[in-house]
Amino acid sequence: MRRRTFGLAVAAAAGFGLSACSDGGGGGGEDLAMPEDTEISASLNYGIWDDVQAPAMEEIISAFNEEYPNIEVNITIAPFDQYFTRLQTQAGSGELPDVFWMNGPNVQLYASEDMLMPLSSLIESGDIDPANYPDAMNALYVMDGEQYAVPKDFDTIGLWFNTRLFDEAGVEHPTAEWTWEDFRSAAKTISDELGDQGVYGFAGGVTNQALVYPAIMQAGGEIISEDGTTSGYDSPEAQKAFQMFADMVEDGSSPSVQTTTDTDYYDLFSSEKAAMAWDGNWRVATYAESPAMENIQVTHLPRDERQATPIHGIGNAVSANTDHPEAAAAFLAFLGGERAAIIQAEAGTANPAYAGSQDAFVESVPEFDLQVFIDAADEYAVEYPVSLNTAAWLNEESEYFPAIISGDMTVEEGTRELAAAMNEHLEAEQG
Amino acid sequence: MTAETEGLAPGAGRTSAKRRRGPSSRDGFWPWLFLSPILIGMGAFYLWPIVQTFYNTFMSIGPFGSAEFAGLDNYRKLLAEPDFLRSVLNTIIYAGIVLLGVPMAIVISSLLNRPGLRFATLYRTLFFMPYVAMPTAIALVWRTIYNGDFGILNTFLAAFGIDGPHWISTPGYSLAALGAMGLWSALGFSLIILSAGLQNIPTELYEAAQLDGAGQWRQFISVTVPMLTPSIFLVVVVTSINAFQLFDLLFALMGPSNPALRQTQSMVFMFYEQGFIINDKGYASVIAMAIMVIVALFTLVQFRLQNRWVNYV
Repeated sequence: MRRRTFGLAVAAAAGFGLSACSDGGGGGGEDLAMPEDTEISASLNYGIWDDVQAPAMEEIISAFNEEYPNIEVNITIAPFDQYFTRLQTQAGSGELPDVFWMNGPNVQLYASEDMLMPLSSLIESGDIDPANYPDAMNALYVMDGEQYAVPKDFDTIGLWFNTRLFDEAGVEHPTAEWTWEDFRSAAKTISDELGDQGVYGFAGGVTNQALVYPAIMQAGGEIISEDGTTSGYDSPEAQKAFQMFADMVEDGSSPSVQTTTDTDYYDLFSSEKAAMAWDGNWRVATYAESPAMENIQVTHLPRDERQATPIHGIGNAVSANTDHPEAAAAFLAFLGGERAAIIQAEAGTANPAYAGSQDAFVESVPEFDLQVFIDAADEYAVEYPVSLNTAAWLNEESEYFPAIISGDMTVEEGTRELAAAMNEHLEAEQG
Repeated sequence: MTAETEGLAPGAGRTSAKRRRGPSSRDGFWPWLFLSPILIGMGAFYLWPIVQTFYNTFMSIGPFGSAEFAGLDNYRKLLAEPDFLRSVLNTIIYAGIVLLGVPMAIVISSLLNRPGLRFATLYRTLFFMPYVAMPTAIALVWRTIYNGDFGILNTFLAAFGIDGPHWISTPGYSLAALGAMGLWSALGFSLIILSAGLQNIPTELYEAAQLDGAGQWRQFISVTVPMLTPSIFLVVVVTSINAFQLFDLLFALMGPSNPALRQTQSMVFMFYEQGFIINDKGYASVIAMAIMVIVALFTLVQFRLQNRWVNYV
């Protein structure tokens, strides 16, 4: 029965989502201001998607209550897969949580539909200072010169490698100075030497943030033009990046796309079936708990025309329709401050965005050189590519990336079609 | 009584005609009161959304519900969409594979109903369990079974010297793999319905058949199957409606960025993709209506054909 009614339930959910018209939308006119005294009493909802981080968030709330004892904050958690579907329904019916987590691909959509409180008044009053966060990361939450969320944490990408497999294949360990050529020849040698044990030089995969984006950025290209109107996928730089990964699948340096569909690249890496993986600092816990832990190290990604990694992170945002703007402002300012950052860092569940507060995170797994991710953010990180309706072209990516990297389509043909499809979505955004 | 009312006003005659069919006129609002929970529920959660979805097919809808009239644009888009035809075809193939489970269920349920079978309840529970398990959990288990490099299926095949493919990431194989999983998880439901049907067949029929010299197989073909046709009909209708609404098993089995996704996606998957990923809810509404019409037509045809082969005793 449950299954039979599913389709109708979806249709029903859609129907309801649609019929509930946004009557409350747009609090754009009013400015967010801090409460005048700390005795203000209010009850706030705080929407998040990661239950692993919930204890740290609870701790932040207790610390916040030392300053504002009468503001009660309730956390609501929805798993990431449902978070934005749910948020969209809540937004449509004017029921958004007062304060909630936002991400790069969604922020412009919510900001442009007046769902988020503009934060410039808090920046002017000095309660929030964008200079405290990595530039490229903060820029993600700025649209048309207005700030819509405060960076909470960030992730950058590094080159993870397995020292045992490198030593067995007789290949020198990667360094921060590696170029694409070094990377490719190491991967090829390891696959050739250890292929009979089912070991690949590079774990491959088809992800955007950890694989394709950094490579295109390193080649000197861009995923989306700065004004957000054209795709960069048909540029020679992007084609060069795709060509490298397609060639690596072709010559056996990395596994086929079928293999990484069945077994995720990070599982291949953490079970010592691959000697290298490009992956973010969100994978620290996974690798630290894997059986291969003592052989795992991390360093900077190899460079081509330049050193580069995308930087992305969660932002805290305030609903434009909140009933308690002052209390929400106070909580937001606290979330964006140093104390909240240090609580998060010590919990070891996220790498805080606040400058200088990452030491505790770096030390959370002393065996790994996690400073790599912080230095990457400070020195060469590039803004994460987003547009108004990012989800639409992300969907094209997940169709074309596997096709191009597996060799089902030539790089030339695949990138041309992908760019055309993405441009079509971008054009639709312009309305 | 009828003679009496005929002499009255024409309106009263209609009441009496109604009275013969049911007690509604005399019982006033009471039946409606008792029916209201289900009627209100159906209206609010089934009928109204369908009306609303139909309305939405003519709109261009923003992610947060703002709507603009778009005329027939969404319908035109659907007709020009090659992916939709592909997904209809995929769904029909999938339904076909899952329906292969019905003859299997007939055989298995009659085996389970053999008198004197030991552990019959245990077997019945085992067969029914997949049906009550969460589709996502089922799909996750089957993902590991189908894994092309480390999966148990290919390890098994390798013992016979067969080099198995990457089942879920190779176009062509993925739909068959999905269908096999769907068949397995739908089997339990068919078994329970058919077992209930079997128990309603009078034993006299078998005794009579035996006296006429019919063997086990002959009894199965000439008594069991014909007597079971009402249950078989129900199972076929419900199984195909379920199969046409394929989404969760597919979604969880395939995973993101699967190179075989386009060759495997179902109609409901496409609805989900357009409505909740691409945020084109007007277009998604057209797809939802198309799914409803296709399922309704298919079910109607089945009902029309039923008197050709279903025996109601």
